[in-house]
Amino acid sequence: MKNYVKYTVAFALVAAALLYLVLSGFDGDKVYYLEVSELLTADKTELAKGLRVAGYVTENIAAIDRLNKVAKFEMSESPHGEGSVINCEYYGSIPDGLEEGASVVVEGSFDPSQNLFTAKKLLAKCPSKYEVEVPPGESAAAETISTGGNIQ
Amino acid sequence: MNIGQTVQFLGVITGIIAFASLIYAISIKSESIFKLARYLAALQTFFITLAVLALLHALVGSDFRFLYVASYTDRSLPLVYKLSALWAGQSGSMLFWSFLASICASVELFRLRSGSLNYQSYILMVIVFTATFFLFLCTAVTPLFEMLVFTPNDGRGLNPMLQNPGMMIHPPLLYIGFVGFTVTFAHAFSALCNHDVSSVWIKRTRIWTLITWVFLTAGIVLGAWWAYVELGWGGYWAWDPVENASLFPWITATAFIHAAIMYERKDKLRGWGFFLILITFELTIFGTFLTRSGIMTDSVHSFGESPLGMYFIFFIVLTEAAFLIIVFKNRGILEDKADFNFTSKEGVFFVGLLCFAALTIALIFYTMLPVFSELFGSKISMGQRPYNVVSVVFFTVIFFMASFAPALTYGETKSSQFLKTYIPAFILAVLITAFPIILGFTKAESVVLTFATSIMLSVFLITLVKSVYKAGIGILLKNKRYAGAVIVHIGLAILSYGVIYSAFYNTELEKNTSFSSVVNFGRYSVSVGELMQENTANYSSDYIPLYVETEGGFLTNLYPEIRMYNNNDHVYGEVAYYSLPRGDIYAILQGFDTKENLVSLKLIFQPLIIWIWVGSIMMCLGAIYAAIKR
Repeated sequence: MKNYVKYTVAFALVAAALLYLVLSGFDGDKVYYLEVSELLTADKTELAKGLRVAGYVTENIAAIDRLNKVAKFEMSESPHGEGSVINCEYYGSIPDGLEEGASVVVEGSFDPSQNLFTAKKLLAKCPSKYEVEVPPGESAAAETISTGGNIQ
Repeated sequence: MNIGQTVQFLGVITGIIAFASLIYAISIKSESIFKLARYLAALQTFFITLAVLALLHALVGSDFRFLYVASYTDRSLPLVYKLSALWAGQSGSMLFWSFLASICASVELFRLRSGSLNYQSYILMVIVFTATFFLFLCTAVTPLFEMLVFTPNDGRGLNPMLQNPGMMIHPPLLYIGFVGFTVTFAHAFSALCNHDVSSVWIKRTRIWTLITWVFLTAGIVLGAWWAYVELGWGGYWAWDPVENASLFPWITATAFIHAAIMYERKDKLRGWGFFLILITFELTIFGTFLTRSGIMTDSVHSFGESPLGMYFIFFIVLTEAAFLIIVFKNRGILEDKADFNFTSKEGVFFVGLLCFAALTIALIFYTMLPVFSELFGSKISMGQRPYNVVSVVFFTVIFFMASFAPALTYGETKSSQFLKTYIPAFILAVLITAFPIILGFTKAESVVLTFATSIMLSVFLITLVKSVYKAGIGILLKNKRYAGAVIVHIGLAILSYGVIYSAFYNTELEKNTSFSSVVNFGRYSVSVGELMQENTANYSSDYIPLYVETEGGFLTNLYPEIRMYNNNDHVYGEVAYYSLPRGDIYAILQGFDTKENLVSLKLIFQPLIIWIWVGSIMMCLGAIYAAIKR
């Protein structure tokens, strides 16, 4: 057999395996990722599947009980409680870092009639403050001084 | 402009002029212009180093006039973390990348100084271009030395979860593990531009590639270890996009190292060599992009939107196009002319490379699915299972290929010769696999994986024993590449056993109990003590001693805590764990209520997990040993 035939056969076998694996559905493992505002306007078919929503915990926290493993809080689309909000209930181990202003990702289902997201999974984001949180109305860039003496 | 901004600006200008000079020097074949370019490249390293020193000075001095210093440090932060804030923030890490790349350029300047103008120029061009790109990002796009109008009294500080030695060195390990591949890539580019596809560039970059691989391996494993000991969910890998971003170049770099062996020894798989180093280089850039651009909003590591994204895409497209064009121009000389055989070392290497590539494609596909799917409608995100499935499938095939390779020769192998090694190895593998089955670990996937790992391990052990028997123990000192490779693959097998058994057989118990009670957890009896408190300069801690014993008597005390740090009123759990060769006992204090006499505990047993860390260390040591020049 010529070289290129051997290569092609090998490629084809591996590609077929890859395609089969990747396209074989994994339906149960797919979740639809929506923003908070999209959640409120989603239709029934989308809501029927697993959902994943990212948002921010607002100041309206009903409960964070690590002992009894319950968290009930409000989630907003934007960092400072602006934009659409939903209520969220979670039963399970509470991760570190869950507090007002925290960036979170929840996975579960949504009931639009109650504006309630029931979360099976709750992830609080890696809190390394890689982005500086700037209070609304100010801009860190606008405050830059480009003159003003040497810093040494 | 302050000093930091000034030297950054000078660094960018120097880089641009150096790059232009190199192009000019090549086109008119001028040694003197080339000499100028070399000085400029060294000068750029000098400027970038000054910028790093300026930043460190500001960080250590808590100079809160700088936005960056105020964002990532505070006065009470221990000195080491003030220093490591250099890479904590986005723009600082861009400077750090640029610094590392520029150091690489200067090292190569020195190391290759007797090479030809053409050979050196293309190499320098690539590295200087990369260093200048990252410097440009932290100079002009997200300015590092930006100043505040009002100097705050104190900075924001570093989150306590990151005040951990592991988290401190995880970024630099990863960055060195990324940047080093720029050098190998630069040599590949130079070889193609000079129409020299002999294995010279492979040999020249072997040590760079291996040592970079060691740093990348260490960085990834350290990140996993940190997640395990710090985050308190009992696991070490969640297939989060940013975790995956560091893994992609690791897989392709591993594949490249194997292709490079064939390239060097037999001038085979050369196309693969070039392709894999290109992909590895681009994936290191892509990994930085994924981590820093904020594009993966459903990642627990995404750090917010930034304008850097477009610049990264531009860089990747430009460098990829340049490389592919030059590969295309050389396609005639890259073809493998000799006959190709699957029943040979190079044959199974080839299949292995296909599997590495396929696995990387699958993992990238799943990771980027939310971004791609959004273009076509709803954003879809994958859970963990698909990642695990593709990993299991492809690694099983890879391990079988790894088991064939030492037993095969170059060129077609006689089956009798192959079987002389493989049959004993097969028997040994069956015996090894039978052991956990007898102990009750009978899940089908774990049996298959254990067998694949064991057959790979057995072949390496048997060929090692045969080599030592034939040539004496001195062969391990004389042939360091061979000995190093054996150590790496044995370490890989050990790591794999750790992954398999912790993944498939971990057990968890969540229990609400009371103070001074006893909880039974498998073979362990855990006596819950009373509430204790400890105050340090940094934090106050509530903890409950757990007295752990087995049938054989006392084992250990565990002290899971809940801490409140002074400079923020956030509450953080501190995991307590105890490692045994058979596995780790891991305890999390989820909460307590003294009035109600309630303690909420989570106990986890992770079988064989310590062998993941042991195996990884072995892999790194083996690779270092193999990198030592004969």
